[in-house]
Amino acid sequence: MPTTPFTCLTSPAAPLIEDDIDTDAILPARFLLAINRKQIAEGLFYDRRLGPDGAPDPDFVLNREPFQAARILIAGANFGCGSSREHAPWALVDNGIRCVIARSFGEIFRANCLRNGLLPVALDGTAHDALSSYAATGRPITVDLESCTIAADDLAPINFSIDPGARTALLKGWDETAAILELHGTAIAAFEERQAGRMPWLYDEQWLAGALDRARMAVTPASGPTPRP
Amino acid sequence: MPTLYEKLWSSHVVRELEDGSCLLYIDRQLIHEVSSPHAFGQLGAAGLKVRRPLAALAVADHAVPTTDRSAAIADPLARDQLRALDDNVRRFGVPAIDLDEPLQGIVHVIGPELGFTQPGLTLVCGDSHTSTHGAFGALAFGIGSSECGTVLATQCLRQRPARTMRVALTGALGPGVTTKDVALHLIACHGAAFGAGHAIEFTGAPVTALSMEARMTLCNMAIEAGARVGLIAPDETTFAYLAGRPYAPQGAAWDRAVAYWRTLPSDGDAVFARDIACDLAEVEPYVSWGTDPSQSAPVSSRVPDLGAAGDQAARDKLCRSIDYMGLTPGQALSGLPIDRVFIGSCTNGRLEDLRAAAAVVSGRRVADHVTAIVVPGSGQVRAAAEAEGLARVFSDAGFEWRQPGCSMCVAMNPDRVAPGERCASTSNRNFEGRQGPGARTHLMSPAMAAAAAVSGHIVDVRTLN
Repeated sequence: MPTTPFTCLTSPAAPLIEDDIDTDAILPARFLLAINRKQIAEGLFYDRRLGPDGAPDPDFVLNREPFQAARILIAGANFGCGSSREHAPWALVDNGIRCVIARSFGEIFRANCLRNGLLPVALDGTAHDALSSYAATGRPITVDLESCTIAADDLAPINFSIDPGARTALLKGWDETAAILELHGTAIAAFEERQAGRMPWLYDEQWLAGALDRARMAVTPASGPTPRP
Repeated sequence: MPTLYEKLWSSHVVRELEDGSCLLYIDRQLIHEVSSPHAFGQLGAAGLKVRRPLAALAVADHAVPTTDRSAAIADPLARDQLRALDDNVRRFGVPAIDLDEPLQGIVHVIGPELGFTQPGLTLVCGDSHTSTHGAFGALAFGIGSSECGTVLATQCLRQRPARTMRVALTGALGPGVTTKDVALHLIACHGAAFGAGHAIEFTGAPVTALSMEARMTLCNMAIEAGARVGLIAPDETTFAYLAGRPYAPQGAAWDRAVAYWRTLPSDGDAVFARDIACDLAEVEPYVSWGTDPSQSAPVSSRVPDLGAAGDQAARDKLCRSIDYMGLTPGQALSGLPIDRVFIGSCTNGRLEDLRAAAAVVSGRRVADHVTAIVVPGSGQVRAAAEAEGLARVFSDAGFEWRQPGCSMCVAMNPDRVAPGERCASTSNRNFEGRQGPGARTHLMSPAMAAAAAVSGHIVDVRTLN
């Protein structure tokens, strides 16, 4: 599905300067049961945002002014490590966050961001430090994907880099599946023909279609549950 | 010259793209109920069909209850998710295993078990522990839901090659030490992101000596080092494991496949972008004490002192972890009382894991204050464990013997650890809230978890008589 294009964004950037913030923290697993995006979005940083009593934790950055409406998040290294759940970027986007700046990202999380119009910006030590300090003041910053720069009053402009393919996908908000089918359909069919010649066992449809039935014939069913003595 | 990874990569490049990325062909996809509704939804919305339905295999594992399944699933959200998977596989013609079948289990256990996982393949799943299948010399990695949809529709993904890393193992594992301990040792020594951007290949004579189960545990944990891909070269052990399995080729096709698989190992003169060495003789049974897998240590050691932290940020993280875990700096790990034990998961829910745990449990009882469950990784593991008497050993000792699923590894089914409870767990992640809000997870091997269950506290399994 096409995503909302990302071109330029101005907002306060919420500083959550910790390393190794995992996707279980961004979106706890119990919210993965929901199929509905609205219910998923309610889970964003749930166990960090709310105390055990269900009341908002006033110390958590997204509960503090002016970051409640922040559209940019700044984190430490390895942001989004762990589980591959795309629900994590969905929850960020559906809560208005369209850009995460970090020292580095979990790879699957980063790929998921690109599929959802969420810009992941990796910044090194000095630039990250300067931006983190500035962000803490609550003054807005501007992230411009056209020029690949981050700018703010009283802050030297920061350049960032991103794969050309990822940049174009974000700028255009394109649909990756449709793009692959349109641009590469013939090449994919040609690859399959070559591979089927070299590795015919991967394409034996009759053998593949019968696999589960062969497995079912071979197994002995396990017993029902054994209750605890 | 090329490494195993480079051979797998180059044999699947459909096209090199202008920006340096490649369109990579994906041979196989495993599907489960959590990451697939959106993927199928995309296809439905765009009016697309699944390009090669027989190249996919679906099963529910994450949201399923592991107790009696004869009644309807209580949680309406879980019920809807399972129904969505049923509807989608039927609509799109994808082969699937039902919840009540004896073949049901965790995707990363049933893929290998059915021979769906094979050397030389590219294999994806909307689950980060897809790295597990790299134990067969397959290029296997976790992806997001949207990417799952793209693979269903196109059998392809746009990807950039990873850098290569070799983790060269030497020496031999001591008694009571497993590849789970090796994984935690590596992550503790080199950090929770040491594999980021890399495909890790585990090499060396000790790897050749490992069973497929032990290899899968090692590759499974590669993602906890930040690497999407963990790899082990296919060899005679791999072929012997696969021979005769339902999806594995047979007859002349088998011979042809094996001949190809033998060409896959990294060449003798292959150069890796990064090399790490690990002497297995130095690895002790490990236990995690904190809230990411790098916060692990030998069971004989202590929770770090705050002085161990380098800078303020590291100190803050250390304080936060120790506080969440209800520990004090400098506290000994051995002797720490536990409330729960979980033996299972895609990391350690295979027959060999249950054998190792049962060997420790045999003739002992679960401590009175501990609730302990064993959750086989699949129905076939469960049946085999019953046939050889392991289930009886666990039940006699006071463990609950459950139905297969992800269970207490991920708090999205009824198996959860209560706030503040401490759990000895054979799963893969000790993140805050991973086993339930406020849950305190200590990762360890099956033998160590079994030792904790019968002792009532964390203990070095080698010290049990």
